[in-house]
Amino acid sequence: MYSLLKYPLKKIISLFEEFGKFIMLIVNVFRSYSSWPVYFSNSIDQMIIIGTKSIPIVILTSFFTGMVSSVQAGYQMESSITPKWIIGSLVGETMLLELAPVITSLVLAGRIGATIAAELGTMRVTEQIDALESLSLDPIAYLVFPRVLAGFIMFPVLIIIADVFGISGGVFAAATSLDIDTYQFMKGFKTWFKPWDAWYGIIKGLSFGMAITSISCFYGFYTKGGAAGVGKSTTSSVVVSCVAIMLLDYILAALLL
Amino acid sequence: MIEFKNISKSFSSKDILNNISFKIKTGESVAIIGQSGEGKSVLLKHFNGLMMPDSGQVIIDKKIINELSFSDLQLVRKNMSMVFQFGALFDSLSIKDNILISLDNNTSLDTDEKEKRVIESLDLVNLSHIDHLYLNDLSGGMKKRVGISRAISIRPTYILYDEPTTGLDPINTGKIIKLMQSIKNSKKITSIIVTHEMKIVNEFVSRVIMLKNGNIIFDGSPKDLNSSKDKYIKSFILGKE
Repeated sequence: MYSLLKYPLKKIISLFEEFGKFIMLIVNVFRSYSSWPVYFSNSIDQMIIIGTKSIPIVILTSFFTGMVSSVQAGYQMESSITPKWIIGSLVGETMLLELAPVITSLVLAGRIGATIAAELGTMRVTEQIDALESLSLDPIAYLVFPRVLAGFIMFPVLIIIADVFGISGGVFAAATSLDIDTYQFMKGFKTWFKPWDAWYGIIKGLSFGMAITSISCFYGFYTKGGAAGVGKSTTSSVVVSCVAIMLLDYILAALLL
Repeated sequence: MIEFKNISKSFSSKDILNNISFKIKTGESVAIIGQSGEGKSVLLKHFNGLMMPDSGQVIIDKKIINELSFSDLQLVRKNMSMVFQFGALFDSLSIKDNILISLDNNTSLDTDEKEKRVIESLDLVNLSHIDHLYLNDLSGGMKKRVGISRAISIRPTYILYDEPTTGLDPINTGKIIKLMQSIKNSKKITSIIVTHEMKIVNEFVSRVIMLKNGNIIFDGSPKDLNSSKDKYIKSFILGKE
């Protein structure tokens, strides 16, 4: 009986230990505030890696997501009693509230999360993080702070880009597949649009950006072992980031809508 | 002056260091030897606080480093450099920037002085002509030399070497030992070296500490080590079971 319970108990304890370690990492990021100005230039580099270089993939995924949601909305609203402009309302609202922030963040959890975890993990196993410490640098301020800050600033920007291109995709698909012109689509979009919906998406972007970058930094920073350890950290960072996005998505919806 | 007082360290209930005590005088060169997995690198990482003991005290220049705050520990580290086993150089930076990052953080030199110091440090390892290159362009021996150059650039009082000749051919091993020798002679630095290399023990250090099962089983001169009658020590020196 004891051995049956031992494994799940050990897992639960290690889960709590990991969570405690994660919280300590975040606390240490804030504790290193005196070094932030020194490493601010690193944040600019990270903003380019996390933000600017993600723009093509964000445009691509959001445009197609908008197109698909437009076609699917048209399929579900085939009845002659529903006005055609309602497609614009549906696509606009789903893009702003859910699809743009969530799909973009899930895609970026793979792109950004994996990059950060692999980079920091490799630095850990090749003793570069130890070297930073031995050179009297604060590795948390030098490595973690710029990435988390870049995620915090750039994710909302990427969400806004995803909103614009998602709705554009919806307009394009509505015009080409559903015979709904841009005027009708935009009429529907404006009918249900509330500025808060756009803000809500941006708030989601802030939280998801923080979550993805901090989780990936955590797994990368505490990598153990060699190449296998880096692989494990990379996988864990992507999986946990995706789960965190879903969890935060629900929490934010319950709190803010 | 460095003092280790009753240092113990364990990982997942496995004892790595077991109540270890010793003192190292300023200017001394000490080799820490022992078989793989005996805790030599773990012991070395206690010198600059990269690892903290479970119990005991590490005292450097009258400061108990395992009781210092992070900022005070950083001040101690400004006098202590480490040469890592595989260099631990930053692959996103050029050779020059790898040294500059160390100078930026540990010295108050102005830009011109830093540039001069980089050239001086790289000259010492005969690499000043390739300071613009990145690590991908370097051989293993060159990386070790850049690592040494980065370590000496801040003019440390203490220098820690973690297996500085591992993976090098005999010619490069000879070059590294010669380099370490010249640093020791010219700068009067206290050197602590973790090594398996008996050539380093015989040619470079004045004292040897040997670890086995987390305990010090030998602490003396290389001459005494070589003339030891202990079966384990003999087999280690001769490389035979």
